[in-house]
Amino acid sequence: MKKVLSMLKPHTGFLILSIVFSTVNTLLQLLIPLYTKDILAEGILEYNMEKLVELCLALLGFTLLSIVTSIANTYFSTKTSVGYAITMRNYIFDKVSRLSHSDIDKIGVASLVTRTTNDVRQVHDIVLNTLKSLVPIPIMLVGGLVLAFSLNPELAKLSLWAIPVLAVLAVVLISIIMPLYSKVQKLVDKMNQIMREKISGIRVIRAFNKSEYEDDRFMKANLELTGLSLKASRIMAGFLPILTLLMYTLICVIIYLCVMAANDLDIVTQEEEILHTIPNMYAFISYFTLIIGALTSVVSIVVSIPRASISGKRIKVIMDAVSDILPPENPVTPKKEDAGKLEFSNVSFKYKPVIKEEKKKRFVPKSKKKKPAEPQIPFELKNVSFESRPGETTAIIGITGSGKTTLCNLIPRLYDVTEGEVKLAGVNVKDLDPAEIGERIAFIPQQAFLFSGTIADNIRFGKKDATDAEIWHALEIAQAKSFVASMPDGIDSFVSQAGKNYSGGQKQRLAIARAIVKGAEVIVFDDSFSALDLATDARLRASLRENLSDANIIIVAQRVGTVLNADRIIVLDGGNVVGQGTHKELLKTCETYREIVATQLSEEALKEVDDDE
Amino acid sequence: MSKKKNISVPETEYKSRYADYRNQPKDEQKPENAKGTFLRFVSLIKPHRISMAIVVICAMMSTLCNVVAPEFMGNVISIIQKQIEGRLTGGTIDFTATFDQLTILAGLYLAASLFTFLQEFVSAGVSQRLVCGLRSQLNSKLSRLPLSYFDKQTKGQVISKIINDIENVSSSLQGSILTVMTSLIQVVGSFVMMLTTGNIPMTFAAVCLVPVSAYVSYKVSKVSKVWFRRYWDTMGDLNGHIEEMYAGHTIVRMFGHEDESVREFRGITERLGKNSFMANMISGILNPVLTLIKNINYVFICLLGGFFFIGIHNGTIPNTAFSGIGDIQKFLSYSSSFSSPIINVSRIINNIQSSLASAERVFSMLDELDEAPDNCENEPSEETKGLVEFRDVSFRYVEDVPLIDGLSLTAKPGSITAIVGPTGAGKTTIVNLLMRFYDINSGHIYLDGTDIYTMSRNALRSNFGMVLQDTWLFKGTVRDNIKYGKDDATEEEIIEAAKTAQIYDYIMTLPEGFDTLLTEDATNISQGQRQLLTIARAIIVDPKVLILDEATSSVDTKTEQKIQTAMNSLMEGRTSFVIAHRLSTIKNADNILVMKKGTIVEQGTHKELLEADGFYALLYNSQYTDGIPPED
Repeated sequence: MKKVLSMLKPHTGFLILSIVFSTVNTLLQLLIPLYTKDILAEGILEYNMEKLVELCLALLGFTLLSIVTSIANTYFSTKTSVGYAITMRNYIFDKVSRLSHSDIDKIGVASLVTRTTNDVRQVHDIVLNTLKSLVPIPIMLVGGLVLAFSLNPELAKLSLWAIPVLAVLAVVLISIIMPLYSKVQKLVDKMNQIMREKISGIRVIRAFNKSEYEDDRFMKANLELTGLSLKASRIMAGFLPILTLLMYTLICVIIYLCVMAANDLDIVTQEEEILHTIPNMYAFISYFTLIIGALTSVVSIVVSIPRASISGKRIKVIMDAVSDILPPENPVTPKKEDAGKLEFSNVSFKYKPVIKEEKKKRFVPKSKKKKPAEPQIPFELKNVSFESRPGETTAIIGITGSGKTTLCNLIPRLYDVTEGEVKLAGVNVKDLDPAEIGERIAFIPQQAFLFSGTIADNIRFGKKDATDAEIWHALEIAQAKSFVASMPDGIDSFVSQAGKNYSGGQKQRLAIARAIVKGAEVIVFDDSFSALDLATDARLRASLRENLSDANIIIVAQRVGTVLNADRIIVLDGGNVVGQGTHKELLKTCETYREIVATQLSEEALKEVDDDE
Repeated sequence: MSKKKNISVPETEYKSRYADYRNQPKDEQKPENAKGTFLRFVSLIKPHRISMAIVVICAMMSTLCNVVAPEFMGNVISIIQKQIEGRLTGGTIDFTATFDQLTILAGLYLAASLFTFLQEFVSAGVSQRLVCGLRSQLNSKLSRLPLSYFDKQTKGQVISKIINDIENVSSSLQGSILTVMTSLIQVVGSFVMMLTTGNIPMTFAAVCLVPVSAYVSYKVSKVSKVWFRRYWDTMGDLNGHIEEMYAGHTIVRMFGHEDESVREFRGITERLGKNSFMANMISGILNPVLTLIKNINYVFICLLGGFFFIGIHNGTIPNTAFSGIGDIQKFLSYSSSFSSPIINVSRIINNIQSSLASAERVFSMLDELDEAPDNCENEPSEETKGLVEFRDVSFRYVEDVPLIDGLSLTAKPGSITAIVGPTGAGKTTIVNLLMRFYDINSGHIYLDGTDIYTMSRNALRSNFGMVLQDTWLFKGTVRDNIKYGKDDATEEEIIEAAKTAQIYDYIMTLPEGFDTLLTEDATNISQGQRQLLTIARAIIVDPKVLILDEATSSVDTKTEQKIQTAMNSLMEGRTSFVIAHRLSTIKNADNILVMKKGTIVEQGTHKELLEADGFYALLYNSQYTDGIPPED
């Protein structure tokens, strides 16, 4: 929590001003009952009209002052809280922007989004409310008591019982309601999840005739939530009337005690005090009302803590995250003649164990009998070595889980190798400035991701100052020209979030165009043709070879047709390189490759190759 | 910037680039048909009318107690004042009179508290039950809505309706109705009580500033509402930007766009900060201002009361209808019990509007047309053979844009029908029509010679096993996910299905085996593994008709072949539909339908189609030769 609070530092000035004004305001509020008392005592009861007018005007001036301080307090506390939220959000966003691929995987995008938006709001609300009442409440409590005692110590002593009663009431309420609220929160999350699943899996649910089952699941969560919420709101329903009843009882008791006291006073020596019974009573009641009000707001703040503390913890995870991929302290500038070279030498890779806290969340056994054993983390890649030069095409093929994508991810240093070296332009990627890596590599991931905006915006992501002609050229190479041209707005056509308004194949082609326009030395296609139909795939490959003759192209693919003409095909199996060479070489030497080919190409095609030899 | 300019709202709203998928449309604050929505809401309360009647009666009673109480409080004060005057002239205080009045007062307060408690207690029940009912209504609506509804709405929108809007409706609308009602009683009651004192000038002093405060609070909450609205809009932009940048993190990094993305983010947070500041500041000013007005009113009453009190004492004013200091107290109380409900109501008018808007959205979803009701005249016989026929079927998702036109096909029992064609040719649509996810516009579809529109959807679908490209799994164990389609599956069947789907070995490497808990969207296993699980899920159902819609697109070819082998034995005696873009996998199909733009352009076996040398041959040959087919 300390760290979350430390974000307040840049706003200390506003915070102090807000505290100052809130203190002044509280003090003024404490003094107001004294004025009303005097209006009654010295004005009305003394039959002094002039004094009455004078005191009334003074009271008005006083309220005005209190209102000015109150507004000033609002101004500064709002400034503080708004600034605080901005600082926190900017910090988190910066941090996440600098986190590595694997860090983001660990927390999950959806969760990161909630943390940056909702959780920040929760924390900011509670911090603000606490700060707002942190100062006034103690002043109110202490000041109210002091003034009440100074007015009538006997009476104050007799009325003190109300405070412990109230405190006990508050503690009881908080201890009942807090766990209830945390449970309610969890159930709301659960219901949201069931609903999300229901909507995203609607086809499967209907295909399996499981609508009723899903309805039951939802109803169960719904009823459970309703039961708990009802319990919570009924407890709260009891609290408020009890509080008002307590206050009014106290008022009645005070009135009665005041009358008793007036009866006991000596008429001669304490005449004025008898006369001022009612004004004093008023002031006294006012103070106790203030005290009770202060205690009530303590309760309402404490009740909101559980939600905020969950949020605080979730934010802290991001703040504490240390990126495991750090930029080099002394980046090396590659030699010109090495531009475009890519070399893997004895590269091995395995994932680092996930953080404990996260793991608990991910693999909770349903029957909590046994704790999950620490699984041995296997190598995703073992001893991979190859070299690819400008103008060459290196293809990587292998079954699911053979490590193709992992290999791709190592090239732009999305992960760090466990052993060995990845060299880009002759320099280990660990020694390259991340900006340098970004400049030299164009990367097209498996899942084509587009940003909202226009097509041109998306293509210009690769090259800020790309002209329209350059964009059209890139689209042409990527076989996207015809469908873009057929749209009324051409390259200014709208792209919705994540490119939802385009088909998988269209998205992939746009993502490819975005990478092409960059003019990078090394272009990595991580299975980026998978959503294209075969004809488009073939045309695209042909145009790539034709137009990017100087680029070093790395292609990951599952279709043999895609890799057929590569200068070098690397066959991966279980993270091991089981074959490396051209299509023809591999057909002879590599059993795994032959199997893959056999599943995809006709017998004739295999024979043809054999006959060729 | 002058203060006035700050508060006024600029004409041109900031146009957001995220507006298109924001959960809440811009005009959400204003209901279109406030009266209709309100009446409908009231009709929802009807089943709870007894509880509601109790709530209303309790609310009225407690308000009445609170309205009457100041009268007695004033009496107490007046009595005390008289007694004190008596005491000063040497008498003693008669406690009984004070005590009697105080007892009545305490009784009133006790009654008020009791009624308030009862009211809150019962109304909590009503509102929670109302929410529960609405939620389940919407939820079961989800099961009945045609799929086309979900194509139009984002997941976020639907969820927001069920969670946020319902919460909004229940908490504020119900609370607001009650507040308006009790406020009315309180206002009228206080006013009547003031008039019964017969002191018109004092009554006037007590109420004269109320319209001012009501006006001020109405105006201020209206303006602050606008700023809150803008705050939420900007929050939507923030969400949009974050979501995009986090989801596209790799791209952002690879293309070196971190700085720009951070800069844009800063711009949005700054705007958010400004809107949030204005919204909070304006609404924060309201309370002090109201306090000021209230104090001015207080002073009026004191001055006028003092004037009467002193005047009567000095004999300058005839002693009519003024019973001393207690009356000042009375009017002070009535002034606040008269003004506070008015201020409250003017403040919550905006809330009521937005609750009504929420209610309207909820109702509009409930009013969406259901799927056409099931026609159950024909239940398929126990032994479905699996003959599937499409006869002259036409279908369109969007009016005027025919997608499938006059399509006819026959799949014999036990045959394998493959559907190929470029993206957007309508391959998946055929499956959607067969499963009755969508209803056809014309033509007929028959299963074993029975029109599928004459049987219930459940009966129809129970004949199909389906594996989709979209690998949907739910949060739960691997076991639960596999046996999703067959609740009573035995452990052996589950293991067998997993083995057939080539996922058994993988499951065994998981720390908890079949008990491993999948996260939401099953993000803790790979796409390929998810696909295999969905295949296992379909296998265990042992369906008559199998549908594989690009089922193996995320699986590598070697595994695909293993699955194919398993599928081949599984497909024995079953009618199968296979949609694939990898043509090599469908070579052994009995019938290959080649689709292009919603119609079947060719059909036949692999061999026949190759010999025909048409579109299929072109597609097929392109995959392993250098031949570059022309763009279509």
